[in-house]
Amino acid sequence: MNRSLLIPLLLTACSADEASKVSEAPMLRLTPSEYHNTVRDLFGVAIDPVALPPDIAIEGFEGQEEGQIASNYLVERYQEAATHFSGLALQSPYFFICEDWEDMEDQARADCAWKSLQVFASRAWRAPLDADELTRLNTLFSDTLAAHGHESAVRLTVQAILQSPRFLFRMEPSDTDAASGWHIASRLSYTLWDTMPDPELFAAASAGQLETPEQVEAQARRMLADPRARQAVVRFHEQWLGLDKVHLNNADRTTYFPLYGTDGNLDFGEEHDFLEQDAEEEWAISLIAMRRSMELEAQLFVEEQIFDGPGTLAALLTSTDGYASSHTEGIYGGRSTREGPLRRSLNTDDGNLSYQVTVEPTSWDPTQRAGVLTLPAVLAGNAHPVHPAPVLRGKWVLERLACEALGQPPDEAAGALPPDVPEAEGTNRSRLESVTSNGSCAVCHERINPPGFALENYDSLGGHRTVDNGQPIDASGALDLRGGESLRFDSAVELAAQLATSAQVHDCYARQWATYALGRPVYGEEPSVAAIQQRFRDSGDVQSLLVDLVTSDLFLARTQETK
Amino acid sequence: MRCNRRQLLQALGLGTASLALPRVAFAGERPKRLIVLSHGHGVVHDRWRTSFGNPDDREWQHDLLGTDPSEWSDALRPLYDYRDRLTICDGLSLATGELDVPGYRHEKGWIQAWTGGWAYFTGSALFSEMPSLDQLVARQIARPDRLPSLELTIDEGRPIVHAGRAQQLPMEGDPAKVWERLFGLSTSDDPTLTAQGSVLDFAHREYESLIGKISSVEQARLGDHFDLVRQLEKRIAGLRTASCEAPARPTTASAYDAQFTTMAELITAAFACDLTRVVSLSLGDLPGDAFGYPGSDVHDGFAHSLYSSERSAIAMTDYVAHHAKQVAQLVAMLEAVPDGDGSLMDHTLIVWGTELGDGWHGFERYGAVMLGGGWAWQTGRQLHWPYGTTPIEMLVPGGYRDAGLPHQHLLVSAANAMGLAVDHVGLAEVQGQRGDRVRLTGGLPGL
Repeated sequence: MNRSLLIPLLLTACSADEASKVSEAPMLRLTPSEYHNTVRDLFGVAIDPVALPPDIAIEGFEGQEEGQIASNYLVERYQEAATHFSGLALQSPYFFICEDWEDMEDQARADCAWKSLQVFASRAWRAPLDADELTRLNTLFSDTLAAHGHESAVRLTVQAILQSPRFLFRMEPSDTDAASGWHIASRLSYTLWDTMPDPELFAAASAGQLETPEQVEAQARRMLADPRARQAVVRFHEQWLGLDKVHLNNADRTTYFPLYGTDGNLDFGEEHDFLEQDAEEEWAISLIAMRRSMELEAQLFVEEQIFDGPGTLAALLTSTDGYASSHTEGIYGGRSTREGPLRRSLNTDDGNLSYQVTVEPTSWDPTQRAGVLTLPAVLAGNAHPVHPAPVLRGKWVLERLACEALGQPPDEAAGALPPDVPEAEGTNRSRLESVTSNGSCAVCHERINPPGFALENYDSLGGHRTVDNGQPIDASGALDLRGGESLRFDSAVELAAQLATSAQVHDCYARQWATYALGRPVYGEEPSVAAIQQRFRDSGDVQSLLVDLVTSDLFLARTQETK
Repeated sequence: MRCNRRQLLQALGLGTASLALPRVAFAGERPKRLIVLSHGHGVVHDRWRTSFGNPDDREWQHDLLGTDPSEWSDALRPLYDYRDRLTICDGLSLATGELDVPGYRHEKGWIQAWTGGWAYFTGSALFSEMPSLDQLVARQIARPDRLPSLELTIDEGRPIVHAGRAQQLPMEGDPAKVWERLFGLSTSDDPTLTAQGSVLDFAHREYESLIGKISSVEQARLGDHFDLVRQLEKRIAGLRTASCEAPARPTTASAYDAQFTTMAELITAAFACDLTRVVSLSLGDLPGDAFGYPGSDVHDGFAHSLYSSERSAIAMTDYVAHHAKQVAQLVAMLEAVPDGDGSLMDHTLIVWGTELGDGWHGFERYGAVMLGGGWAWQTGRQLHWPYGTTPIEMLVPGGYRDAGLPHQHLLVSAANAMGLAVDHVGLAEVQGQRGDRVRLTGGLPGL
């Protein structure tokens, strides 16, 4: 008999004749950042991260079931991390539930350690342990205590807890007596905070106060007001926008050093002749600082719009409240500073490389820039070394903003692209049009090229330009979205304004949040997704979308059996 | 000069009594071992190789056995006594490094050199896209109850070991910790180390207890993970019970040469006890006084000015020659330990390469040699391939020149010798700056 019929389900769409169902929410492994945040919160001390292998990004997102591969390297790192972090138990301000643990007599010391470990285990596993689990844990503790003494027994038991499935994986075993509130608490905290539940969430779970959508909503709103939500929500957008790609930007030195280069800061010593590769090295270092600045600017832009600004997807797509640093002001054509809520600095000094980036609020020229589409981090992340890449940018708009998957280009496509060299005939647009307008290429490129060409006013580092190879830039175009909306634009700013009111773009954004929150691809055909999308089209508000998502059937459903 | 086994081990301080000599602690067919050895700043190519009177513009091979030491380059002469084991690869380029992300020439060099693939830039650091040679080999030949591989460094050498995309493996530079990893489990009484078996066993039993309570999909996922936990447990148990004559626990030496000697002893002992079959050793920058230039810094003092200063070129050659002496020392130690009908060295392949073509950060002229591997090809030869034959433009002083033979072919030959049936390591094909397709499949031509 299908076990799912035996347990209370919040899922309304479950039908008895289905012998097998796909999990609504698959079992997920903690991502490296979730792992470290969780260890930090478990012990209540700052930690130095250990090297854990990253998830493979699926649809651009970490934390997806499909991208979480087990490897020898992974289990060894977990073993070393557990060994390493178990020492924190002896330093943590609240691991031991009694005072002066070290000075107690043996029996009291053992009792206190065992009670402390029970509390720790239920926090680490994010739900109470059942009787069998407690028995097994106690056996390990007692055996190691007898064999190795108090401190070693505590450390070894902590190591075991940290390598158990219920710590490493967000599990929801179906026969626990615990109310589903424990699982809801974890889903909420890892979705909205990237870490384990806090005491208030645990208390709500324990008191059965995560049973109704209203109760969940109250917690979600509390959590969104917490700084941890800012970090976690920005992290989603880093992946949505593909910000890490900016670090692959390899802008050509001879083309861009005259535009944006700064005097070098490398010290080769007095007797050193300045050589060609030194100049290249210097440019590489300037690029590092520029890219880091662009990434930080994008993070602050998103954070301000969602938490300190209008809070809507439209604002993300159209706002001109930007950020800049000394490294990127050339790219923006100057720095028009404004009063703004956020400001952030980072210092990098690893001995070989040192630079400082201080990013502060600026206002963009509204005729030149609007929203995430015109962030240098996005533009530079989709560019060739010499010329901007309309194909990459167009593909990015279609796939990330409109959820129109294009798949991989045919093998011969790469060979057909015009060479990316400084001395070329005509404009970037004309060269690309000439090789993509015929036959089989046109089928995809009549969709890819227009949004890409709309961004031709931005060079490979995202700087605004009006002329390409001596000719005025034509950024005009038309794009008929598959959902039926027709976009007509003369510039990126116009394209952004139309994307900001597009129902398809809103649906896409909501769908990607659902994918991110559930850890599996989510499609708009699912009824509960469609309902969330409809409400988001109406409100446009990102925080409301998150509350809607985490109070939905989709999110609150228990994992389904597939036996 | 060759030492006999006892002389050598005495000289190295490994012990005077025969009981302390490493012994091969297992029977049966001799396993093959791999050592990947890498130093910084490349070589000075025209002082690293000798033409033995052959033309540069043609492919050729030269038998090293009949040569006289006076014919040898200063850089490689320390290996003359081991010429019967040598394969000198003359004419390689780190060609694809020139096509990778700009700048970061050291970093992408040490990634390209040992993975044959692209660098992967994530956040603020360069990682590899692909596993390095040693990891590919370790996956193939590792014993389940021993360490799959050992990653070692002297004085903070470059990170050359990559288990996969963005999985850079840390390298251990402290011989005491290496000893701990090899012999600690079998000699330690620190419970947080020795009781790992019960910790992992607990975790595994927690997994087993969940089997009936989770979906079949979840069972499969957890099964994959906890099968690997069981394997880790086996490795730990294997190392704990390995019967082996452990050398004395080394103290942490400060002098570079002393550190090298200690690491070489540990490698020899690890092979003799079959604690691992794959070792990577990344050599950090030699201090000036280690190779006759007291107070000088290799990187800033000599490497960059290779082409503008004769003194720098000589210094960098002496620097490489010093590493050649160290390699010779390692070969001598492996030769000194009997293994089957021969010695450990008879069943070991050493691939000695570097992270750059030269100290000028060029990738065009890459110097690599192999020692051993006699079961896979005829050793005792220098192989030459002409430069300017691969249509990938390489940065050289004053401009660009076409590359020599891409070094991926070296990695393929090494992988094949270690039993991997692969036709490429890392990249299989790239496109040069002028649009030419360059195939990177197959081993070294003529090997």
